[in-house]
Amino acid sequence: MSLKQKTNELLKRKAIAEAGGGEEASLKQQARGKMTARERIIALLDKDSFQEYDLFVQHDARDFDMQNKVLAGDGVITGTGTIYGQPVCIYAQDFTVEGGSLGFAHARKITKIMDHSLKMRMPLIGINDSGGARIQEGVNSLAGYGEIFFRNTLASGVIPQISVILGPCAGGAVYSPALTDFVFVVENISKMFITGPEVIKTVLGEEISMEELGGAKVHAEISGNAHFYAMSELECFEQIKRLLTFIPWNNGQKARAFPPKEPRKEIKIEKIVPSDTRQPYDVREVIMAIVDDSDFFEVSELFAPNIVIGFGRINGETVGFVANQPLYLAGVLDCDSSDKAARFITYCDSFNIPIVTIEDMPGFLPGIDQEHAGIIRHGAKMLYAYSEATVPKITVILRKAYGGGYIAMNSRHLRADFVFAWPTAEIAVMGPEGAANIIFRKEIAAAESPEEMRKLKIKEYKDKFANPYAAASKGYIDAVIEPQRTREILLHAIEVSANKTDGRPRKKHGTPPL
Amino acid sequence: MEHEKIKYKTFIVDDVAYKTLYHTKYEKREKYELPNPKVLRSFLPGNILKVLVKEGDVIKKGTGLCVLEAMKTESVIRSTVSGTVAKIHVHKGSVVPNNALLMEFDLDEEVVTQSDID
Repeated sequence: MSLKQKTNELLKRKAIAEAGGGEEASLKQQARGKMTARERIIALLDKDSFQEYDLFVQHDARDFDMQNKVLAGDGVITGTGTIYGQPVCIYAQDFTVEGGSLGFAHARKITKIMDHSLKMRMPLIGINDSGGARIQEGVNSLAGYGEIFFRNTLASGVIPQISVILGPCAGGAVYSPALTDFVFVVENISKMFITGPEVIKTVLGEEISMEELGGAKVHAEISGNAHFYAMSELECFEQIKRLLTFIPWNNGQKARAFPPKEPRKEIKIEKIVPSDTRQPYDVREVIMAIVDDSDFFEVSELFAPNIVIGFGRINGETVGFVANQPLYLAGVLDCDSSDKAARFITYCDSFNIPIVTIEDMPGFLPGIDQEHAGIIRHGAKMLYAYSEATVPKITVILRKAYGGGYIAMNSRHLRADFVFAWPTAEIAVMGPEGAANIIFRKEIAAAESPEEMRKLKIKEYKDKFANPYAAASKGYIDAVIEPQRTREILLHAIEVSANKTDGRPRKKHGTPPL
Repeated sequence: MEHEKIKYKTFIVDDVAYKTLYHTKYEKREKYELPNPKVLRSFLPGNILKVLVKEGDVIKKGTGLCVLEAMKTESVIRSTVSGTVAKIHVHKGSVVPNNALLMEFDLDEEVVTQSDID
C-alpha cells in the first residue's frame, strides 16, 4: 500500500471511531437536549485546538458476549487542547457508546490523561455523562473507578480539577467529581446520586423523581455538591472559561494578572450598608464596590447563601472573597456555610490566591438541629482552614463581629495579616440585647420597670462595646477605616503582602475536623 | 432601591431580631422533636411481618412488639418502656414509611414529653 492509501485507511478508521455510537444514538442524545461528547469538547476548547489520544483503544472483556462488541474509543474521548491559549487536559464520556459506561479500558484512558495533566501541571476537565459501571466487566470497572479517585486525590491542590456533569453520574462515579475542586451542573441534564429512584422505591418504598432526587438544582442549592449551575450546556462552558481566567494553572503559579480597572462609579460603598446592624443588605454589592471593574464571580451561589464566596480582582490580581451575607439568615455561620467557606479557603490557600474576608455576622446559629448536625465540627473547619492558610489574609469588619464567629472569620488570632474595621464595627461576645440580659439579669429583674432598665442596660453595653475601639485598643484591629477608603486600603494591603513568607510546623498532614 | 420591595423576615440570634430572608433549605428543614416514649414509630420504611402484642397487653422494657422488614433485614422491635399497649396502628403485612406511627402505650411512670416543654 502506498502512503496515500495508508493515510486513507487511517482516515477511514478515524471516521468510524469518531462517529461514537453512531448517528441514531447521537440523535437520541440531541433529543434529550444534550450535545455529544465530541461537540462538547469542541465547544469548550479554543477553535481547532483539540488533539485526541487513545482513539483506537478497545476493551478486552470476554464475558457476557462482550468479545463481539466493538465500542468506539471505549466510550470516552480524551485529549489536550487550549482555553484562552492555555493548555488543558480534557476527557468526555460518550453516552452514545454503551451508555458511556465505565469499563477498564475506558477508565485507563481517563487515568492516562489524568497522569498527563498532573505531570504537565495543567488543569484537568472531566465531562461526565455515563450510566455508571460497565456491569459486564465486573470488578474491573470498580478497579477503574478506584484508580480515578486515587489520582483525583493526588492531583488535589496541585492542578485545578473541574468536573462537568452533563448527564447521569450515578453510583460510585459520583465520587470523582466530589474529589475535584469545582463541579458544574446544568438544569434538566445533570443527574447525580448514589442510588437512583428505582432502587429507592424498591428498597425504601419512597417515590421520588430523578430531578428531585439528584437534579442540577438539588445539588446546587440543597446538597451543595455542585458549585456552578447553568441553564444550558453553552452557558456552563462560558462559566468554566470564566472560572479559568481567575485561577492559576497549578500550585506553583499565581493566577494570570489582568490590567487594573476601577470599580463602577455608581456603586457607592458607603451607601450600601445600613448603620442599624439589624437591617439587611446584599454584601455582593459591597464586593462589587471593591473589585476591579465591579466584576465578581460567585462560587456556590445557591448553596448556603448566608455566606458568599467567589473570585474578584484587586489591582489586576485574583483575590478570593469570603463574605457574610446579611441578606440571608442575617449572615449567621451554620454547618453548611462553614463547610462552604472552609473548602473555599483551603482551595485559595492551595493555589496562592490571597483571601479577603468581609465580616458582618451575629455568630454561630443556635438551635437543636444545628447542634445535632455537628455545628461544633463544621464550625471548626473554618478555624482550621483559616489557621492553616498562609496566603495573604485580610479582614474587613463592616458591622457585627460577635462571639465565636468573630474568631472564626479570619481574626488576628488565627493569623490574619491585616484586620480593618469600619467605624460601624461592633466586636463583642454577643449582640447588645443578649449580653445585657445576661450581665444585668439581677438589676433588670429587681428594677421597678424591668423593661426600662433593660433598655438602659442595653444602651450601656452598646456604648461600651458596640464599636471597634475596644478591639483596636488591644491591637486586634490594625486600623479603623473610612468606608469609602476600603478598596484603596485593600489594594495597599495586597501590595505590601506580595512577598509574604509564612510557614507551619512540618508534618505529614493534620487531622482536619472533616 | 429594589430592596424596599422585598418582604423581610425576622431572625433571632442571641435575643437580637434581625431583618433578613430565609433560604429554601432553611425553610424546608425539619424541626427537632423530643423523642416521645409513649409512641412507637418506624425508624426505616419497610413491611410489618408480624405483630407480637395485642392492645391491652402489659409490656416491659425488652418485650418484642413487632417484626419489621427493612433494607432486606428482619428486625424485632422491642419496647424501651414498661406499661401497657394502648393502641396498635399496624397489622401483619402493613407497608410503613419512615417515621410512621406504629403503636401507642400507657406508661407506668410519667415522662417528660414535647408538649410539656411547649
